[in-house]
Amino acid sequence: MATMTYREALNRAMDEEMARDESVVLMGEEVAEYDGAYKVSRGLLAKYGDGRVLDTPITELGFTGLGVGAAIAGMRPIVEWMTHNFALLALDQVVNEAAKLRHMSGGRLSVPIVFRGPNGPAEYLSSQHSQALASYWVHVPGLRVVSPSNPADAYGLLKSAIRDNDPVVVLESELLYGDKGEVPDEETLVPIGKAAIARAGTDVTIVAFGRPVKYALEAAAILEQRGISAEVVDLRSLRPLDEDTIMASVGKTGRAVVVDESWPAASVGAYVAHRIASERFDSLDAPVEFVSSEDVPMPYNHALELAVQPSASKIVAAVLRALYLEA
Amino acid sequence: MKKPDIELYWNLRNEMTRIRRFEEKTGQMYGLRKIGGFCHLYNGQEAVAVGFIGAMDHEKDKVLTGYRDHGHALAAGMDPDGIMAELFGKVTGVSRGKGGSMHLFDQDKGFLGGNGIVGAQIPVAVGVAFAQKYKKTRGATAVFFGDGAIHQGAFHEALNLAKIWKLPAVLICENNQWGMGTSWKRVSAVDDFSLMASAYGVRGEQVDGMDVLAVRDAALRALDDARNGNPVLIEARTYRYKGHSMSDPQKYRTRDEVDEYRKQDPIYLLEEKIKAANAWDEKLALAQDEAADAMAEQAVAFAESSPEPALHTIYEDIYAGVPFFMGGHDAATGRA
Amino acid sequence: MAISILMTALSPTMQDGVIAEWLVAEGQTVKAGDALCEIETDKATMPYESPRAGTILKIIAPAGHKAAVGETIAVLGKPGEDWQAIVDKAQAASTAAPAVPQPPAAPLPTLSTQSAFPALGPSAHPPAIPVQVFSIQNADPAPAIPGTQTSQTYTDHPALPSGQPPSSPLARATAREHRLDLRGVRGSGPHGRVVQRDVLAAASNAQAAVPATMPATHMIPTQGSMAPRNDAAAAISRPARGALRSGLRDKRVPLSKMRSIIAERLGASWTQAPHFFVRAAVDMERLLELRAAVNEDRERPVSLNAFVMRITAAALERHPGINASWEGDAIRYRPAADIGLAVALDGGLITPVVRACERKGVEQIDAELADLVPRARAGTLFPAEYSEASFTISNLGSSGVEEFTAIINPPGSAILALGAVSKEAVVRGDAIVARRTMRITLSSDHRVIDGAAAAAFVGELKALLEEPARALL
Repeated sequence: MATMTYREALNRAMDEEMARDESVVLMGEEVAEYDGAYKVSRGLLAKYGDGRVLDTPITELGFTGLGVGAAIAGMRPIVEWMTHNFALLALDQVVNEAAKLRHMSGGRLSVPIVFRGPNGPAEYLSSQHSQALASYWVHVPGLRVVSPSNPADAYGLLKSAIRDNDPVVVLESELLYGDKGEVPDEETLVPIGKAAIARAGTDVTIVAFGRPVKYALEAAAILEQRGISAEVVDLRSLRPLDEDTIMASVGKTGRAVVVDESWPAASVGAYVAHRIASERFDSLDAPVEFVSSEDVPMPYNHALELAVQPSASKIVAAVLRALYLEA
Repeated sequence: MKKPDIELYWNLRNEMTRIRRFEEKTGQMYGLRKIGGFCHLYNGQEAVAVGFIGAMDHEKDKVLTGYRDHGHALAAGMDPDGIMAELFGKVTGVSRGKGGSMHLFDQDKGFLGGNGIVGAQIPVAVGVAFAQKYKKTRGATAVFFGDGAIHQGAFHEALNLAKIWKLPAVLICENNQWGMGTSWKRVSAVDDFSLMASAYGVRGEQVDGMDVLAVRDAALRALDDARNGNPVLIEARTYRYKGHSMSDPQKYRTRDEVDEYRKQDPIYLLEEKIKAANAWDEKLALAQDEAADAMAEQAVAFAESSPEPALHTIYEDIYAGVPFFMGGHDAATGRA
Repeated sequence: MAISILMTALSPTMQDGVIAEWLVAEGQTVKAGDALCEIETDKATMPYESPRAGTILKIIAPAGHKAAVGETIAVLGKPGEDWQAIVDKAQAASTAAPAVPQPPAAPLPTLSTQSAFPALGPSAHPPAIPVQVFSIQNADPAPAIPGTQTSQTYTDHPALPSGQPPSSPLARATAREHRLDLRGVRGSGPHGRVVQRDVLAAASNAQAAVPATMPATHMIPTQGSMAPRNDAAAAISRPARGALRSGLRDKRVPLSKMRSIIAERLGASWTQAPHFFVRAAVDMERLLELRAAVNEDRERPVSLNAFVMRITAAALERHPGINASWEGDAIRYRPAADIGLAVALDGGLITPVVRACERKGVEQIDAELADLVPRARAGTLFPAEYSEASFTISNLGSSGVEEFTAIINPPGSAILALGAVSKEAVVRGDAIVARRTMRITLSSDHRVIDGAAAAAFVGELKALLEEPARALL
């Protein structure tokens, strides 16, 4: 096991896949000569040349659509969005083209493409640059969406995404890029559609994905000191959703707290909560608790922006509510 | 003056006639409620698709267009039966009844759709050209769009990308003068779309879209440029006889305007050229017309007799691998 | 710190309660959980258990006093503490917010003692079982904790129409597992929601507490020990405890839920079903001999009721027209002899059902009765266990009753009333002999059963009871 950062794990995944398959190319803003706005693509230009690592103009719609066209013509492009905030400019190409071409063509076309970049809050960026937009993608049939919470998953999920024959959106996190973790030395693919039990427990299930998994694990450690055994399910894949793992856990614990750093309405977390309520109705001892972002745009002030987001203490409070315990 | 290629003329006439008769039959079927939804007919614009696509190398070149796609699909050599069945929503349609009028596909003919979002096909087409270049196929990609689409950011972003990466793409703006109900002149900063190419250092060319021979000549030049890494923008000035779609009452233009353009009908103009070359053959013309009618009749018969898609097919053609569905429901069976 | 002992809502609908009896005296030291008094509610009479240890400083509400929910009925504290100050404070508080029980700051403990008043049968208005709870109001209340969700009381959020308190799905599943009726459980969750921990606590408490608090078994003549009773004194039921013992003279007692259901259902049966009655005297010698033989070496004798039910099932098999239900526009002939046995309770009755008696042996029927009857008394039957009888037997023989008529228990169309077995002078041949005899009366719904059919059934039943070997044929 090598210890590496989340950023390095993503880089290694792209490096290995580009070496393995010549149809894999990387394109996006600042991915080549600048080595990536967040240095995720560091060194790839030098290794693979400007035919395969391409700096684009700042035209998210244009280069995202170009990637889709390349994909239907037999390539496996990786389109890096500098952040998912900017991907809103490319929403049409993802929703109306990438996700639909197979369908509209009656199965004639394949769109093997990866869209990736940081999603969710960062720090001191205010409201246009700190948004968790998972549900924009998870909403859409025809896409797959993954959200790695740690370096090993970042590595294994991105490799699976690149090899997938459908469009895959990868939700990274600026605030995870520097996180270190163990990544297997041997080539490893993390299958899309399988959640992980990040921590086993018996009293309550905390379902989270992406960066909030860290908070969920912190909360579980705090709860342990109170004698409460929390199980943390890291979804890893949001579309498809590993309901088997979620439902098995909630069936066991009888209480569920769902964590999502998105806004509450029409969010992945709200959907997961609905599924739990439907599938595990007879197992629930309390309503499914939901810890989301506050329903406000992200403020610049640091104390305020922290107050907006899910935190370990908010998760602990939700768990206590689910257990009918006083804070 | 080049010696007229009479055989080519007759072939072009035949292709345009096939499209014209197919679209007339389509309009009829729409009126009989055999076809629903948005249905955009190509009548009047046949010279553009036939002139350009007829000049392409179908072994390696690719075509993409917008939602007014029946003519391009036929010009690319797609099976009229599969097209009509698709319009009817039948499982034998080229897109298995999933796409309909706006979404015809046949990758074996190099025809990559049939796109319903105005201008969205342009970056996709440039991406196809990117793959052609990356794989060194020597193929080029032609993308058709209307006078409405040229103002989309997608057009400008894509043309810029095509230029900076030297992609084998030809962008053909079919200026049929009406973006739905809006005259192109009311919404365009320039009165010659080919000028827009100059903003990106790309060669622009305006061509008479009612003259199939002119379009063909322009296509041959543009494709040659494109194969050499020089994308081209073409404005083909044309006219559509029918409404924007079948539901268009056409209050925005006069009967006289339509009649005026009918005098420049692309099939009529070509026939005049054949006659001028003393090559007119009334029996051949009649035979072409009758064959085109028979083709359209056969397509309708095929579509009529084709089965509806089974309910379970709603779960097909969405993912490459094992399909999955959110929500825990199965509409086909009602099972959770 | 002295505390007020408050009248609390012991059922979802309770507005006030009457102190039936104080079980402690002023100055007496009590432990937490000791019964302080008995309280009559609209549903039941229950002991009020002390929330904590201390000395009874003052009894405010004497026996017979009706106290509103939230009213101070006593003060508990250390000897020498000023109880008057506590009372004054509590009165001031209750003037400010009359009749609304103060939400306790901490989750309410749930107490064990569970009075069992299960439903007579399925009804649009199943009875709510009274619950045993208490709340304490600290004499010096702490400031309310904002956002505390566990402090709601029942009165704010009445039980669901089913009579069930709001409960979590898991609590319901757990209650099913423990065969616990949720109506007997006080919820500690928000809005009085019964949650899993409440069920688990109630289940473990019920196990410990039920035997001690249930009335003695004399009310129910279903035990294997039933024997011919000529001793009239023995047949007279001993008086019941609680309300029945202490306060029934010159008093208007509002209906319990169970009473009103009995009134509704049996009133409807009596007025809607045209009853007619067919009687017979049955010579019980052969059956009692048979039973004695069967029971000879048995540690736990097989009850006479089990024999009667088995033989009745055999008769019903031969007369399927009796085993039927009136359905307004049709008569439904039932697939099996699902025989209910009326079991008397404190303040009501219930009919646990043994399904498909025609396919079961006497031993099995007896074993099922041995399971059902105690649970009927404990109030832990599930609706499926006391509903949809196709035929009912009511046995008042142990009370020394010679014969009686019973009201049909829908959806059955007939009920069989059994009197006491007593020796009667009977002509056998030309001799008068003493034979143990039981009078039976069949009540039939004439919409379903005609007189000849009822007579044929009773004749068959009499023949089978008199010669049980026939049932084998």
